[in-house]
Amino acid sequence: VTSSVSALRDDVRRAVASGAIGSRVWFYATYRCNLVCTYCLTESGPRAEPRALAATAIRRLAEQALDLGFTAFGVTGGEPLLDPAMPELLAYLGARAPTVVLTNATLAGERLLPRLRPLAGSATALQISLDSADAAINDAARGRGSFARAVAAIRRLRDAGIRVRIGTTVDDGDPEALDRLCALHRSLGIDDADHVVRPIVRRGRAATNGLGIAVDAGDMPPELTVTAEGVYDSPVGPTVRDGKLATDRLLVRTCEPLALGVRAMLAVRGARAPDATAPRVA
Amino acid sequence: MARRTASDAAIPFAMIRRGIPRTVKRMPVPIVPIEVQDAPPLAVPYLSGPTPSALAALLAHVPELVAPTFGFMDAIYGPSSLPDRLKELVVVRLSALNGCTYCTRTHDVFAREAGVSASEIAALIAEAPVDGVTFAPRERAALAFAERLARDDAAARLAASGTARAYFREDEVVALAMLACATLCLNRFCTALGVV
Repeated sequence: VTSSVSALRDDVRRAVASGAIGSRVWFYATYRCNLVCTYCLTESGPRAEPRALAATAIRRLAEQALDLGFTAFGVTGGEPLLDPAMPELLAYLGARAPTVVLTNATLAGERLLPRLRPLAGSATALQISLDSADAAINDAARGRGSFARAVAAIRRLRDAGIRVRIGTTVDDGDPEALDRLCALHRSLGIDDADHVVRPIVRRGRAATNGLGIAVDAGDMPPELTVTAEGVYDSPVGPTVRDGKLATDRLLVRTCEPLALGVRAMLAVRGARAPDATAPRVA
Repeated sequence: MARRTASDAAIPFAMIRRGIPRTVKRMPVPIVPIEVQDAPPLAVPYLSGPTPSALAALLAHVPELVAPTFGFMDAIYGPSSLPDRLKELVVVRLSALNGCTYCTRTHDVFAREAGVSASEIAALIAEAPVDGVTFAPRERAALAFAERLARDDAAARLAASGTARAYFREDEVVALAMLACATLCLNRFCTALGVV
Protein backbone atom coordinates (compact mmCIF):
# COMPACT_ATOMS: atom_id res chain seq x y z
CA VAL A 1 0.00 0.00 0.00
CA THR A 2 1.42 3.36 -1.01
CA SER A 3 0.68 6.04 1.53
CA SER A 4 0.57 9.63 0.43
CA VAL A 5 3.41 12.04 1.16
CA SER A 6 1.37 13.81 3.84
CA ALA A 7 0.54 10.55 5.61
CA LEU A 8 4.18 9.50 5.42
CA ARG A 9 5.24 12.91 6.77
CA ASP A 10 2.92 12.41 9.75
CA ASP A 11 4.44 8.98 10.38
CA VAL A 12 7.96 10.45 10.22
CA ARG A 13 7.08 13.26 12.63
CA ARG A 14 5.53 10.79 15.07
CA ALA A 15 8.58 8.51 14.90
CA VAL A 16 10.93 11.47 15.39
CA ALA A 17 8.87 12.83 18.29
CA SER A 18 8.91 9.42 19.99
CA GLY A 19 12.68 9.23 19.60
CA ALA A 20 12.45 6.08 17.49
CA ILE A 21 14.26 7.74 14.58
CA GLY A 22 16.40 10.85 14.29
CA SER A 23 15.34 14.06 12.56
CA ARG A 24 18.59 14.21 10.58
CA VAL A 25 19.25 12.70 7.16
CA TRP A 26 22.85 11.83 6.32
CA PHE A 27 24.47 11.87 2.90
CA TYR A 28 27.69 10.01 2.06
CA ALA A 29 29.12 12.41 -0.51
CA THR A 30 32.14 10.24 -1.37
CA TYR A 31 34.18 7.37 0.02
CA ARG A 32 37.42 8.95 -1.21
CA CYS A 33 39.62 10.72 1.31
CA ASN A 34 42.97 12.44 1.29
CA LEU A 35 43.75 10.79 4.64
CA VAL A 36 43.95 7.09 5.57
CA CYS A 37 42.97 6.93 9.26
CA THR A 38 43.65 3.74 11.17
CA TYR A 39 40.12 3.51 12.57
CA CYS A 40 38.20 4.57 9.46
CA LEU A 41 34.80 2.85 9.20
CA THR A 42 34.70 3.12 5.44
CA GLU A 43 38.27 2.17 4.41
CA SER A 44 38.45 5.62 2.88
CA GLY A 45 41.63 6.81 1.23
CA PRO A 46 42.93 8.31 -2.00
CA ARG A 47 42.38 5.07 -3.89
CA ALA A 48 39.05 4.01 -2.36
CA GLU A 49 36.14 3.20 -4.67
CA PRO A 50 34.50 6.67 -4.79
CA ARG A 51 30.82 5.62 -4.48
CA ALA A 52 30.17 9.33 -5.09
CA LEU A 53 26.74 10.79 -4.43
CA ALA A 54 26.57 13.83 -6.70
CA ALA A 55 25.82 17.22 -5.15
CA THR A 56 22.88 17.56 -7.54
CA ALA A 57 21.44 14.28 -6.25
CA ILE A 58 21.97 15.40 -2.65
CA ARG A 59 20.02 18.60 -3.38
CA ARG A 60 17.09 16.61 -4.76
CA LEU A 61 17.20 14.15 -1.87
CA ALA A 62 17.36 16.99 0.67
CA GLU A 63 14.23 18.58 -0.78
CA GLN A 64 12.44 15.24 -0.57
CA ALA A 65 13.65 14.77 3.01
CA LEU A 66 12.25 18.16 4.07
CA ASP A 67 8.98 17.32 2.34
CA LEU A 68 8.83 14.07 4.30
CA GLY A 69 9.28 15.76 7.67
CA PHE A 70 13.03 15.55 8.34
CA THR A 71 14.53 18.73 9.75
CA ALA A 72 18.33 18.44 9.71
CA PHE A 73 21.10 17.29 7.39
CA GLY A 74 24.51 15.72 7.73
CA VAL A 75 27.14 15.30 5.05
CA THR A 76 29.92 12.80 5.54
CA GLY A 77 32.30 10.49 3.68
CA GLY A 78 35.19 10.01 2.95
CA GLU A 79 36.18 13.63 2.83
CA PRO A 80 33.22 15.69 1.56
CA LEU A 81 35.41 18.67 0.62
CA LEU A 82 37.00 16.54 -2.12
CA ASP A 83 33.80 17.20 -4.08
CA PRO A 84 34.39 20.50 -5.86
CA ALA A 85 30.68 21.32 -5.57
CA MET A 86 30.68 20.94 -1.78
CA PRO A 87 30.89 24.57 -0.55
CA GLU A 88 27.84 25.60 -2.56
CA LEU A 89 25.99 22.44 -1.56
CA LEU A 90 26.63 23.19 2.11
CA ALA A 91 25.32 26.73 1.69
CA TYR A 92 22.23 25.33 -0.06
CA LEU A 93 21.57 22.78 2.68
CA GLY A 94 22.32 25.28 5.47
CA ALA A 95 19.80 27.71 4.03
CA ARG A 96 17.11 25.03 4.48
CA ALA A 97 17.93 23.21 7.70
CA PRO A 98 20.65 22.85 10.33
CA THR A 99 23.48 21.02 8.59
CA VAL A 100 26.69 19.46 9.82
CA VAL A 101 29.50 18.28 7.58
CA LEU A 102 32.09 15.88 8.93
CA THR A 103 35.49 16.87 7.58
CA ASN A 104 39.19 16.54 8.29
CA ALA A 105 39.42 20.21 7.20
CA THR A 106 42.86 19.65 5.72
CA LEU A 107 41.47 20.89 2.41
CA ALA A 108 39.87 23.99 3.97
CA GLY A 109 42.92 26.12 3.21
CA GLU A 110 43.25 29.71 2.00
CA ARG A 111 42.32 28.66 -1.54
CA LEU A 112 38.92 27.20 -0.55
CA LEU A 113 38.14 29.84 2.09
CA PRO A 114 36.45 32.38 -0.22
CA ARG A 115 33.93 29.72 -1.26
CA LEU A 116 33.30 28.69 2.32
CA ARG A 117 32.75 32.27 3.56
CA PRO A 118 29.01 32.27 2.66
CA LEU A 119 28.58 29.66 5.42
CA ALA A 120 29.35 32.35 8.03
CA GLY A 121 26.26 32.91 10.13
CA SER A 122 24.39 30.07 8.40
CA ALA A 123 23.00 26.90 9.93
CA THR A 124 25.90 24.88 8.55
CA ALA A 125 28.62 23.73 10.92
CA LEU A 126 31.88 22.07 9.98
CA GLN A 127 32.66 19.23 12.37
CA ILE A 128 36.42 18.88 12.24
CA SER A 129 38.15 15.71 13.39
CA LEU A 130 40.74 16.18 16.10
CA ASP A 131 41.61 13.25 18.34
CA SER A 132 44.26 14.60 20.67
CA ALA A 133 45.96 17.79 21.85
CA ASP A 134 49.18 15.90 21.19
CA ALA A 135 50.01 16.24 17.52
CA ALA A 136 52.02 13.01 17.51
CA ILE A 137 49.11 10.98 18.94
CA ASN A 138 46.60 12.59 16.57
CA ASP A 139 48.85 12.06 13.57
CA ALA A 140 49.64 8.44 14.44
CA ALA A 141 45.96 7.62 13.81
CA ARG A 142 45.11 10.26 11.20
CA GLY A 143 48.27 10.84 9.23
CA ARG A 144 51.34 13.05 9.43
CA GLY A 145 50.60 16.77 9.40
CA SER A 146 46.84 16.30 9.90
CA PHE A 147 46.92 17.91 13.40
CA ALA A 148 48.67 21.07 12.24
CA ARG A 149 46.43 21.45 9.20
CA ALA A 150 43.24 20.82 11.23
CA VAL A 151 44.18 23.38 13.91
CA ALA A 152 45.12 25.94 11.26
CA ALA A 153 41.78 25.34 9.51
CA ILE A 154 39.85 25.68 12.77
CA ARG A 155 41.44 29.10 13.37
CA ARG A 156 40.90 30.19 9.77
CA LEU A 157 37.23 29.11 9.68
CA ARG A 158 36.50 30.59 13.12
CA ASP A 159 38.05 33.88 12.01
CA ALA A 160 35.78 33.82 8.96
CA GLY A 161 32.75 33.49 11.27
CA ILE A 162 31.96 29.90 10.28
CA ARG A 163 30.61 27.60 12.96
CA VAL A 164 33.13 24.89 13.87
CA ARG A 165 32.62 21.81 15.98
CA ILE A 166 35.27 19.32 17.02
CA GLY A 167 34.74 15.60 16.51
CA THR A 168 36.95 13.34 18.59
CA THR A 169 37.21 9.60 18.04
CA VAL A 170 38.93 7.74 20.86
CA ASP A 171 39.66 4.14 21.73
CA ASP A 172 40.76 4.30 25.37
CA GLY A 173 39.09 7.45 26.68
CA ASP A 174 42.10 8.54 28.79
CA PRO A 175 40.50 11.36 30.86
CA GLU A 176 43.71 13.39 31.22
CA ALA A 177 44.35 13.35 27.47
CA LEU A 178 40.75 14.38 26.93
CA ASP A 179 41.17 17.28 29.41
CA ARG A 180 44.17 18.52 27.42
CA LEU A 181 42.14 18.32 24.20
CA CYS A 182 39.25 20.24 25.79
CA ALA A 183 41.68 22.93 26.96
CA LEU A 184 42.92 23.16 23.37
CA HIS A 185 39.48 23.51 21.79
CA ARG A 186 38.45 26.09 24.38
CA SER A 187 41.61 28.05 23.59
CA LEU A 188 40.51 27.93 19.94
CA GLY A 189 37.18 29.46 20.95
CA ILE A 190 35.04 26.33 20.70
CA ASP A 191 32.51 25.61 23.46
CA ASP A 192 32.18 22.24 25.14
CA ALA A 193 28.73 21.93 23.53
CA ASP A 194 30.46 21.90 20.16
CA HIS A 195 32.84 19.09 21.09
CA VAL A 196 31.62 15.61 20.20
CA VAL A 197 33.47 12.60 21.62
CA ARG A 198 32.62 9.12 20.35
CA PRO A 199 34.26 5.72 20.58
CA ILE A 200 35.92 3.94 17.70
CA VAL A 201 33.43 1.51 16.21
CA ARG A 202 34.75 -1.92 15.26
CA ARG A 203 33.76 -1.89 11.63
CA GLY A 204 35.67 -1.26 8.42
CA ARG A 205 39.38 -0.57 8.77
CA ALA A 206 39.00 -0.31 12.55
CA ALA A 207 37.87 -3.95 12.60
CA THR A 208 40.73 -4.97 10.31
CA ASN A 209 43.13 -3.24 12.72
CA GLY A 210 41.44 -4.72 15.80
CA LEU A 211 40.37 -1.29 17.10
CA GLY A 212 37.25 -0.08 18.88
CA ILE A 213 34.07 -1.51 20.31
CA ALA A 214 31.75 -3.99 18.64
CA VAL A 215 28.27 -2.56 18.08
CA ASP A 216 24.91 -3.99 17.09
CA ALA A 217 21.92 -2.30 15.52
CA GLY A 218 20.66 -1.00 18.87
CA ASP A 219 23.94 0.88 19.40
CA MET A 220 23.77 2.58 16.02
CA PRO A 221 21.96 5.91 15.91
CA PRO A 222 18.72 5.43 13.95
CA GLU A 223 19.25 8.17 11.38
CA LEU A 224 18.33 7.79 7.73
CA THR A 225 21.51 7.64 5.65
CA VAL A 226 21.82 7.85 1.88
CA THR A 227 24.81 6.59 -0.11
CA ALA A 228 25.28 6.25 -3.85
CA GLU A 229 24.59 2.53 -3.44
CA GLY A 230 21.56 2.52 -1.19
CA VAL A 231 19.70 3.86 1.83
CA TYR A 232 20.75 2.74 5.33
CA ASP A 233 19.15 3.01 8.77
CA SER A 234 22.22 4.57 10.42
CA PRO A 235 25.28 6.59 9.43
CA VAL A 236 27.33 3.80 11.05
CA GLY A 237 25.72 1.30 8.64
CA PRO A 238 27.33 1.76 5.22
CA THR A 239 30.85 0.81 6.28
CA VAL A 240 33.41 -0.88 4.04
CA ARG A 241 35.54 -3.91 4.89
CA ASP A 242 37.94 -5.55 2.44
CA GLY A 243 36.49 -3.30 -0.25
CA LYS A 244 32.95 -4.55 0.35
CA LEU A 245 30.14 -2.22 1.37
CA ALA A 246 28.28 -3.62 4.40
CA THR A 247 24.69 -4.76 3.87
CA ASP A 248 23.59 -5.50 7.45
CA ARG A 249 21.94 -2.07 7.88
CA LEU A 250 20.94 -1.64 4.23
CA LEU A 251 17.28 -0.65 3.88
CA VAL A 252 16.80 -0.37 0.11
CA ARG A 253 18.96 0.13 -2.98
CA THR A 254 16.54 2.65 -4.46
CA CYS A 255 17.66 6.13 -3.37
CA GLU A 256 15.04 8.13 -5.24
CA PRO A 257 12.28 8.70 -4.47
CA LEU A 258 13.50 8.92 -0.89
CA ALA A 259 10.01 7.93 0.29
CA LEU A 260 10.86 4.30 -0.48
CA GLY A 261 13.78 4.36 1.93
CA VAL A 262 11.75 6.30 4.49
CA ARG A 263 9.01 3.66 4.48
CA ALA A 264 11.62 0.95 5.02
CA MET A 265 13.18 3.04 7.80
CA LEU A 266 9.84 3.32 9.57
CA ALA A 267 9.20 -0.41 9.14
CA VAL A 268 12.61 -1.32 10.57
CA ARG A 269 13.18 1.38 13.19
CA GLY A 270 9.94 3.32 13.50
CA ALA A 271 8.33 1.32 16.27
CA ARG A 272 11.38 0.84 18.46
CA ALA A 273 12.12 3.36 21.16
CA PRO A 274 15.84 3.96 21.56
CA ASP A 275 17.56 2.25 24.46
CA ALA A 276 18.63 5.07 26.74
CA THR A 277 21.50 3.00 28.15
CA ALA A 278 22.99 2.14 24.76
CA PRO A 279 26.28 3.85 23.96
CA ARG A 280 26.04 6.60 21.39
CA VAL A 281 28.44 5.99 18.58
CA ALA A 282 27.99 8.87 16.15
CA MET B 1 27.74 5.13 -12.65
CA ALA B 2 30.11 3.77 -15.30
CA ARG B 3 33.61 5.11 -14.91
CA ARG B 4 35.38 6.10 -18.05
CA THR B 5 38.92 4.90 -18.37
CA ALA B 6 41.58 5.39 -21.00
CA SER B 7 41.07 1.80 -22.13
CA ASP B 8 37.49 2.60 -23.25
CA ALA B 9 38.88 4.23 -26.35
CA ALA B 10 40.67 1.04 -27.36
CA ILE B 11 37.43 -0.87 -27.92
CA PRO B 12 36.21 -0.33 -31.49
CA PHE B 13 32.73 1.11 -31.91
CA ALA B 14 31.71 -1.95 -33.98
CA MET B 15 32.40 -4.18 -30.99
CA ILE B 16 30.26 -1.98 -28.78
CA ARG B 17 27.45 -2.22 -31.31
CA ARG B 18 27.75 -5.98 -31.24
CA GLY B 19 27.20 -5.79 -27.53
CA ILE B 20 30.68 -6.47 -26.18
CA PRO B 21 30.74 -4.90 -22.72
CA ARG B 22 33.09 -1.96 -22.47
CA THR B 23 34.65 -3.25 -19.29
CA VAL B 24 35.76 -6.81 -19.79
CA LYS B 25 36.65 -8.46 -16.52
CA ARG B 26 39.33 -11.10 -16.92
CA MET B 27 38.32 -13.04 -13.83
CA PRO B 28 34.72 -14.07 -13.30
CA VAL B 29 33.33 -12.37 -10.21
CA PRO B 30 30.40 -14.37 -8.86
CA ILE B 31 27.46 -12.77 -7.09
CA VAL B 32 27.99 -13.87 -3.50
CA PRO B 33 24.90 -14.89 -1.51
CA ILE B 34 24.38 -12.82 1.65
CA GLU B 35 24.63 -14.72 4.92
CA VAL B 36 22.13 -14.05 7.69
CA GLN B 37 24.61 -12.06 9.83
CA ASP B 38 25.12 -9.63 6.92
CA ALA B 39 21.48 -9.60 5.85
CA PRO B 40 19.60 -6.31 5.40
CA PRO B 41 16.75 -6.00 7.94
CA LEU B 42 14.05 -6.50 5.31
CA ALA B 43 15.69 -9.77 4.20
CA VAL B 44 16.37 -11.24 7.65
CA PRO B 45 12.97 -13.03 8.01
CA TYR B 46 13.68 -14.88 4.74
CA LEU B 47 17.18 -15.93 5.77
CA SER B 48 16.74 -16.95 9.38
CA GLY B 49 14.57 -20.07 9.05
CA PRO B 50 15.86 -23.63 9.37
CA THR B 51 16.23 -23.82 5.59
CA PRO B 52 17.26 -20.36 4.40
CA SER B 53 16.38 -19.93 0.76
CA ALA B 54 19.29 -19.68 -1.68
CA LEU B 55 17.11 -17.36 -3.71
CA ALA B 56 16.59 -15.03 -0.73
CA ALA B 57 20.33 -14.94 -0.10
CA LEU B 58 20.85 -13.45 -3.56
CA LEU B 59 17.77 -11.21 -3.58
CA ALA B 60 19.01 -9.77 -0.27
CA HIS B 61 21.43 -7.65 -2.29
CA VAL B 62 18.34 -5.63 -3.25
CA PRO B 63 16.25 -5.77 -0.05
CA GLU B 64 13.19 -4.09 -1.51
CA LEU B 65 12.81 -7.02 -3.95
CA VAL B 66 12.71 -9.74 -1.29
CA ALA B 67 9.20 -9.45 0.19
CA PRO B 68 7.49 -8.62 -3.13
CA THR B 69 9.22 -11.52 -4.89
CA PHE B 70 8.32 -14.02 -2.19
CA GLY B 71 4.79 -12.62 -2.04
CA PHE B 72 4.51 -13.10 -5.80
CA MET B 73 5.87 -16.64 -5.51
CA ASP B 74 3.46 -17.45 -2.68
CA ALA B 75 0.53 -16.31 -4.80
CA ILE B 76 1.64 -18.50 -7.68
CA TYR B 77 3.18 -21.59 -6.05
CA GLY B 78 1.14 -21.55 -2.84
CA PRO B 79 -2.42 -22.87 -2.54
CA SER B 80 -4.44 -21.61 -5.51
CA SER B 81 -7.30 -22.52 -7.82
CA LEU B 82 -5.04 -24.88 -9.81
CA PRO B 83 -4.37 -28.28 -8.21
CA ASP B 84 -0.90 -28.66 -6.67
CA ARG B 85 -0.17 -31.76 -8.71
CA LEU B 86 -0.89 -29.99 -12.00
CA LYS B 87 1.27 -27.04 -11.01
CA GLU B 88 4.21 -29.23 -10.00
CA LEU B 89 4.03 -31.14 -13.30
CA VAL B 90 4.41 -27.85 -15.15
CA VAL B 91 7.19 -26.54 -12.89
CA VAL B 92 9.30 -29.71 -13.05
CA ARG B 93 8.84 -29.97 -16.81
CA LEU B 94 9.80 -26.34 -17.52
CA SER B 95 12.69 -26.34 -15.06
CA ALA B 96 14.15 -29.45 -16.71
CA LEU B 97 13.52 -27.99 -20.16
CA ASN B 98 15.38 -24.81 -19.16
CA GLY B 99 18.21 -26.76 -17.58
CA CYS B 100 17.73 -25.22 -14.15
CA THR B 101 19.20 -27.80 -11.78
CA TYR B 102 18.22 -25.87 -8.63
CA CYS B 103 14.54 -25.51 -9.56
CA THR B 104 14.34 -29.08 -10.86
CA ARG B 105 15.85 -30.49 -7.66
CA THR B 106 13.75 -28.42 -5.23
CA HIS B 107 10.52 -29.08 -7.12
CA ASP B 108 11.29 -32.79 -7.36
CA VAL B 109 10.55 -32.78 -3.61
CA PHE B 110 7.45 -30.56 -3.87
CA ALA B 111 6.15 -32.67 -6.78
CA ARG B 112 6.47 -35.88 -4.77
CA GLU B 113 4.56 -34.19 -1.93
CA ALA B 114 1.85 -33.25 -4.42
CA GLY B 115 1.40 -36.87 -5.47
CA VAL B 116 3.62 -37.04 -8.56
CA SER B 117 5.31 -40.45 -8.76
CA ALA B 118 9.03 -41.03 -9.29
CA SER B 119 8.47 -42.45 -12.75
CA GLU B 120 6.24 -39.50 -13.67
CA ILE B 121 9.03 -37.13 -12.62
CA ALA B 122 11.49 -39.19 -14.68
CA ALA B 123 9.20 -38.82 -17.70
CA LEU B 124 8.92 -35.05 -17.18
CA ILE B 125 12.68 -34.63 -16.90
CA ALA B 126 13.55 -36.96 -19.74
CA GLU B 127 11.45 -35.07 -22.33
CA ALA B 128 10.63 -38.53 -23.62
CA PRO B 129 7.94 -41.12 -23.00
CA VAL B 130 8.59 -43.43 -20.07
CA ASP B 131 6.99 -46.85 -20.15
CA GLY B 132 3.79 -47.00 -18.18
CA VAL B 133 3.51 -43.23 -17.63
CA THR B 134 0.49 -41.53 -19.10
CA PHE B 135 -0.70 -38.13 -17.94
CA ALA B 136 -4.38 -37.20 -17.87
CA PRO B 137 -5.67 -35.20 -20.85
CA ARG B 138 -5.90 -31.99 -18.77
CA GLU B 139 -2.33 -32.50 -17.58
CA ARG B 140 -1.10 -33.07 -21.11
CA ALA B 141 -2.86 -29.91 -22.23
CA ALA B 142 -1.26 -27.89 -19.42
CA LEU B 143 2.19 -29.29 -20.22
CA ALA B 144 1.79 -28.63 -23.95
CA PHE B 145 0.71 -25.05 -23.28
CA ALA B 146 3.59 -24.41 -20.88
CA GLU B 147 6.13 -25.88 -23.31
CA ARG B 148 4.90 -23.71 -26.13
CA LEU B 149 4.93 -20.67 -23.90
CA ALA B 150 8.52 -21.43 -22.94
CA ARG B 151 9.73 -21.95 -26.49
CA ASP B 152 7.73 -19.91 -28.97
CA ASP B 153 5.62 -16.78 -28.50
CA ALA B 154 3.43 -17.36 -31.56
CA ALA B 155 2.69 -20.98 -30.69
CA ALA B 156 1.94 -19.94 -27.12
CA ARG B 157 -0.69 -17.50 -28.30
CA LEU B 158 -2.40 -20.16 -30.36
CA ALA B 159 -2.14 -22.67 -27.53
CA ALA B 160 -3.67 -20.25 -25.02
CA SER B 161 -6.76 -19.77 -27.14
CA GLY B 162 -6.80 -23.31 -28.53
CA THR B 163 -5.55 -26.41 -26.71
CA ALA B 164 -5.42 -24.89 -23.24
CA ARG B 165 -8.78 -23.21 -23.59
CA ALA B 166 -10.34 -26.55 -24.55
CA TYR B 167 -9.46 -27.97 -21.14
CA PHE B 168 -9.29 -24.93 -18.87
CA ARG B 169 -11.48 -22.00 -17.92
CA GLU B 170 -10.33 -18.45 -18.71
CA ASP B 171 -9.05 -17.86 -15.18
CA GLU B 172 -7.21 -21.19 -15.21
CA VAL B 173 -5.40 -20.29 -18.45
CA VAL B 174 -4.37 -16.98 -16.85
CA ALA B 175 -3.12 -18.79 -13.74
CA LEU B 176 -1.28 -21.37 -15.88
CA ALA B 177 0.35 -18.67 -17.98
CA MET B 178 1.59 -16.85 -14.88
CA LEU B 179 2.82 -20.13 -13.40
CA ALA B 180 4.80 -20.87 -16.56
CA CYS B 181 6.15 -17.31 -16.84
CA ALA B 182 7.19 -17.16 -13.18
CA THR B 183 8.93 -20.50 -13.54
CA LEU B 184 10.80 -19.33 -16.64
CA CYS B 185 11.82 -16.18 -14.77
CA LEU B 186 13.12 -18.09 -11.76
CA ASN B 187 14.82 -20.75 -13.93
CA ARG B 188 16.75 -18.04 -15.74
CA PHE B 189 17.56 -16.11 -12.56
CA CYS B 190 18.83 -19.16 -10.68
CA THR B 191 20.86 -20.45 -13.62
CA ALA B 192 22.42 -17.08 -14.47
CA LEU B 193 23.34 -16.22 -10.87
CA GLY B 194 24.54 -19.69 -10.01
CA VAL B 195 21.92 -20.74 -7.47
CA VAL B 196 22.68 -24.39 -6.92
